[in-house]
Amino acid sequence: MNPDMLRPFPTLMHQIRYHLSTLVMAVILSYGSKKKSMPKRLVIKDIEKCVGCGVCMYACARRSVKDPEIGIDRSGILTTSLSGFERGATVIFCRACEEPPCVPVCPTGALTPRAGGGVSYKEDLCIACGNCIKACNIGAIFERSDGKPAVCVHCGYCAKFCPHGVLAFEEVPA
Amino acid sequence: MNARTKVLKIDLSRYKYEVEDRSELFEQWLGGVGVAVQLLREEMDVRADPLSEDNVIVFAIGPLTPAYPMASKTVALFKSPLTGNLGESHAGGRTATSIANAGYGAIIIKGASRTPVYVVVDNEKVHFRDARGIWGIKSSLTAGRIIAEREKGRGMRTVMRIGGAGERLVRYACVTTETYRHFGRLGLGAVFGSKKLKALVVIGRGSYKPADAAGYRRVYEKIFRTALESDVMNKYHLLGTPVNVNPLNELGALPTRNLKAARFEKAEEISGEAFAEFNLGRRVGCSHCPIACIHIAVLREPYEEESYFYKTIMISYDYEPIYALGSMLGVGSRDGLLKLIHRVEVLGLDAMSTGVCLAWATEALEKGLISEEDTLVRLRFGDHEAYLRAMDFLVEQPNDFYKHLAQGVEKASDAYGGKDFALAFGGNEMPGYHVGYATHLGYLIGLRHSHLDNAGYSLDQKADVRAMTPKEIVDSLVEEEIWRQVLSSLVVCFFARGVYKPGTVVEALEPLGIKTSEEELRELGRRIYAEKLRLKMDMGFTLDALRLPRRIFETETPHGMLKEEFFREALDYYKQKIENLIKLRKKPKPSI
Repeated sequence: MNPDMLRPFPTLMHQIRYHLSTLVMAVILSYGSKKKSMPKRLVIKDIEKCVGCGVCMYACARRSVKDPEIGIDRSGILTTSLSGFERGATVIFCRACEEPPCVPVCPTGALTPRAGGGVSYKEDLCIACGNCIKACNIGAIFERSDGKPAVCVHCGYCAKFCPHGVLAFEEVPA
Repeated sequence: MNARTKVLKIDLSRYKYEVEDRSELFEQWLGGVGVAVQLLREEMDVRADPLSEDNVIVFAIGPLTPAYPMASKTVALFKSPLTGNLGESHAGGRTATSIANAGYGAIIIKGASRTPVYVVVDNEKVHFRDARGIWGIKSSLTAGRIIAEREKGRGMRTVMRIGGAGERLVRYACVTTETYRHFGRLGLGAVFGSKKLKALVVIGRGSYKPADAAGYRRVYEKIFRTALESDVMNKYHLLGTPVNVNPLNELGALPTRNLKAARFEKAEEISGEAFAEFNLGRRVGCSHCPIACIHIAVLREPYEEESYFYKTIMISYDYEPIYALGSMLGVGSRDGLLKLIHRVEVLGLDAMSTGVCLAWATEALEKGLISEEDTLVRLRFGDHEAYLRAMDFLVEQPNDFYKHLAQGVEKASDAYGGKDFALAFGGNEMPGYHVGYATHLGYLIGLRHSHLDNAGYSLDQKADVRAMTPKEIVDSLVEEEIWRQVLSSLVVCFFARGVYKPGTVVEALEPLGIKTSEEELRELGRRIYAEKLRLKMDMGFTLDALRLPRRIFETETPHGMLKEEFFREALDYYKQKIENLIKLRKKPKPSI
């Protein structure tokens, strides 16, 4: 493994930034709840239209404004053919279970249930035990090269790039 | 841990591999063809026999993969068993992104295995797998599926494999990737076959970081939106490449029945429009390309002896196979044509070379140069059933005739005559355009004798070409080919060349930490062109050996009948031009 892949312990600045961003998120969320808007999640509109281009995987890798990546190591969505492209293609990602089987097996609380289904993932808490990857019933959590999970957290960024209307980011009842 | 500058070298003779960081090479030559030319020169003796263990294959990707969309192509360089000279072939599918995500800029295959194997590159590891049980499976589809089911990595891998044609060393066998994309031309499949390499699987799941995060995301969005929202790629979005069939036929530029004609009375039947209306069943895309230009037809066929039983086959179609196995063979039945396309897919043959070889054989049979004892089946233009059988014979090679035809139309016509209508340029069978001087000059002087080297067929369709002198046409073709060296070093799909204009390329490279300018890029293109030409010449290529098939002077083009004099003038000028180009690029000897 490339040593660059191993993250150093978070510095003070990282921690401050992290807590600040949680604070900002909390404000946004509380503002959102005042408007009684429903949580959103990534949904499939029509899987038959998937051409297997994988543009979503690369979008997922770019989703962080500060730290985009080139490649699919962190992608929480996977495009694959259905045993050969003659049968078409599909995308695999977290289907936002109401009772996510990956949550109770997480020993550090890195994965917590998310409003609207699925999970929130706190990378800094994750010890890369891989329990969640094994626990997912549908094989929708992938292993990064550092052993931590690549999981869809339903941010919706990839849907903006899906060129054929397969993916959408929609409100769902909490 | 920057872009992909590592080179993986796999030695099939010793079942060993090593990885070397060659950032200096990628810095100087960008990637793709620029780097591959250098690596091939380092690794291979220019005198190597193409079907011996001395041949070397270089697969290379460029800095835009997988950073940006539509950079989904891999360049393969090798010595061609078809021409005996430099072989270059490009393919889409998932190969490029898989190589990049596995952490490599290039993969080199050397040596030859003693026993059939397939090789799995799983990120940093390489596994050599026994393939004795898979060897002999004629269908590249079946071989691909078996390997895909045995190996992990679905969705993040490529399975590059050969069919029966590659195993039996048909000199124009292809390597197929993801069922429908190919390293089609110049016989890479036979090189795999000679190395007893059934398949190369590459699994990749890595990432790296751009030099400028914000800039990268901004430029990405710009390129992505341009591709989808402007009409520069509409042609590939909608009907796909077969959109060309009708216009070329109307123009009188669609090679028909071994180019005895340039209009096909059944063109409408096999046009992009007809395929879309009656057969188009699905479209798929190469990895990280939103265009999805791969058009797949549905062929529903009843079982012959059982009622209410059907088989349904999915067949990828494009302009080139429609030309080569359709109009060129006089096949105007869409179902018949689909069966032919499916058969070359199954056997792993290059569609263009196969079509041109069979068209030549048909005419040679008509003219009595060969007999049915040679062809074993009565070849007639339009009779797709006969051609289906002949394709099997090309792979099985049951007699001398098919042994010769499996070596290409040049070799077959050396043995049986019929040179005048043996449609090959530089030893490579002709692509599907008979538009004018620029088209055929393009095939001749293009460094891989492909229509895509310099797009002469496109120049011939421009209004002002009629006024152009031989010199001007040569200059224009070489200029285009020089720019395309940059595109195939990046490596972007040529279909996206309208998106990746010089300014955009400069802009796209910057967030990746590569600062350059349009002028520098063009200069680099010039240097790569010269390096490639020099390598080609060191392998024995001479302009004097180039042959113009008489047939192109016998069938009218949209520019009228072509005259040999024009070609002579153009080639004389080209000869001077490249002499200067090569001289200029040779490094001056260091003074002592």
